[in-house]
Amino acid sequence: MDSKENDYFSHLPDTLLFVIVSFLPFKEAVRTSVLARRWRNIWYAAKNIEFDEKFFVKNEESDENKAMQRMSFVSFIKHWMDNCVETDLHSFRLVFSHSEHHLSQIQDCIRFCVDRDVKALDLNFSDPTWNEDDLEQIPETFLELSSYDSLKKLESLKLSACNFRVFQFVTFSTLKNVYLGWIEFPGSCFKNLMSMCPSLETLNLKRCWNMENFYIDSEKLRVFVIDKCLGPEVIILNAPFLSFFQYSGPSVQLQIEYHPRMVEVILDFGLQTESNEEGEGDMLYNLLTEISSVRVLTICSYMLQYELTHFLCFLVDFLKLIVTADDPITLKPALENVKHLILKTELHINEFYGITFFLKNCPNLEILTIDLCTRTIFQDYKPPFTFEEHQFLTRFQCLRYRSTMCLKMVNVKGFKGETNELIVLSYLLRFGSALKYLSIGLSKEKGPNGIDMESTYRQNAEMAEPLPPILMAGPPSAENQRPRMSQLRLRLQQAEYLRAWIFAQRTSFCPQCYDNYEKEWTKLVAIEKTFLETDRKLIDHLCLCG
Amino acid sequence: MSSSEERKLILKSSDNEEFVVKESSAVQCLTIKNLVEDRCVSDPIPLANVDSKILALVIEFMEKHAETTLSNSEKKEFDVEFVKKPFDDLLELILAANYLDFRELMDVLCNTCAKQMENWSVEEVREKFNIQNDYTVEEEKAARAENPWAFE
Repeated sequence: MDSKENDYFSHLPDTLLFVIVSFLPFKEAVRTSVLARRWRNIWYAAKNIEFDEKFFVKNEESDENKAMQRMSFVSFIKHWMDNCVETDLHSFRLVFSHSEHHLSQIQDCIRFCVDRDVKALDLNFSDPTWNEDDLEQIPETFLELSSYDSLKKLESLKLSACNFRVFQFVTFSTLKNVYLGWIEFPGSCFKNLMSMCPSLETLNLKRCWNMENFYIDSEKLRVFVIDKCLGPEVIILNAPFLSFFQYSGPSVQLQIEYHPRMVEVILDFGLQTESNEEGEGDMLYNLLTEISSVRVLTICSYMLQYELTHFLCFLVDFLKLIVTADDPITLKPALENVKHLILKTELHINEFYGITFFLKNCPNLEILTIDLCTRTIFQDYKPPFTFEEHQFLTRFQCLRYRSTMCLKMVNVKGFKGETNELIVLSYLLRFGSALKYLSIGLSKEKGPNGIDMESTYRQNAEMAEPLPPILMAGPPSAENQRPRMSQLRLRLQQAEYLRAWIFAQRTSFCPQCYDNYEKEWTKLVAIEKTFLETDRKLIDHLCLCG
Repeated sequence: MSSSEERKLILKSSDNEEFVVKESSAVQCLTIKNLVEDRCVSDPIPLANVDSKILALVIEFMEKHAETTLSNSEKKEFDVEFVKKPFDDLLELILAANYLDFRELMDVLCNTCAKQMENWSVEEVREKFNIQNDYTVEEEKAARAENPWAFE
């Protein structure tokens, strides 16, 4: 039997192999050269070109070796240019740090691709060792992209450590996606960008500096990200089609108009290191009312502390609402569309009011992600209601929110097994009647003297993980649709076990805390008795239903 | 209530089976579109390179993608199910889509083929697609040596 007959591709002419290969990622396309003789040069038809130094230059090598590796990287690029017969390319991506000695070859290559009407251009000259979080560090921009006529056909532009002046002279009527990283981006550049790119749908700015306040007024913008940039103090957003908004960096004043199509919002003032006693209290209030359509919401620790306090002061002073310690204020309208809430928190008592506020006001919550961070608590911050540390236990266990009952999945990241983490988990196990999935990601933080803590964290996590196979970390499947009676009982058992373990830990506290915890525990048991009847009815109801 | 008559075309497969389709769907195939615009339409339009089994599948795809009431994600869902076919059929469909110059179908099919090749080793890809390795040992070594970085 002639096995060549069975070769599936034997029926296709080379031109169709070119098309198939053009859909492969670049590295995979190159690998086809070894399949058989016919395939030797098919890969030159690849239209998604990717020259990434990580395939050539290895970090562990000495500096001389790395210089040699860079030379072979550049000669590979030249070899490709000499052999490429394609007259048009889809995308071109170049990742090349420390490329000072190869500047003219890089420019040749960029020109080569631009002449072939490339639609997506991605140039990354940044150094992976640059510190994202240190906003004072201003690296040097490596290259300035010249103005080419054919750049006018671009649909997507991604530049890192690469400056550009093109926006001053040319209108980019087809440019939809722009990502700019590690460059200076003054207000004039921003204005040019917005006026020269009328079709802009995605704008992503990372680690830019010298920025001024933003006023975004666009009918087309769908995605807007400001990630760790230095400069703006005020951001005004009016983009009615915006569906994704992220702000990460030092705290700013955000003013946004009504955005009915907002799906995901990330508010991360994690880089704010100084206390901020003054603030416009209505910022959070406006924010939450104008993005009421949002489905995925990320809230940072700073918001849970300072912004919440400003917010409460606003409610009390201007809206004349009454706020009490025991019951967080109900937002009207509530964040009813929020299905996934991500809290970047330390689970500290100072954040307690903020955490309960969001849990209460997201009544249809299905997924809760607790992203544990450290060093986010401000020493000067005074929460609106002062609770003692040990009160975390009783107060948390007494929460009865609709969101807890709807929750289907809980993710924890950065878990260490500290007391408050276990309190929250035992609460969720106990009262999350719809809970099906729990996943715990361990913290990577080292102990004192840099010892590896993974096994300790893992042991602690095993305390919280329910007896298998009730709650699995993984995608939903048909079998797991409803918790059965036996599963519920087991889960309650687990919650009790965990609580008892937490209580047993009190012997490691100082004597004063020990006493306080004893008192809290007694209080908790008493309160629990009053809830027992309601809980029992609920379990019976759930079991009847399935 | 009047409705303008939907212009229909008759397409004839290589094995002489006839299929009636809406002109508005059929013009997604540029080959057919050109015939219609140049007024060279004979009735039925003979498609010598496409048999009835494949033509039926092409028409199924064509009509789904011509529906204006479906959202893009619904069309994508249809595409995902559509490509779950034996590889033989997919290749015949590629040839047909190429002949008919049906860009959307080509893209979906070629992308599927490419995805089937991704993340497999060279030997695994050869086995999957019955590709006979006609390199000599030295030739294959030389081919690999041209781009060692791709094989790490």
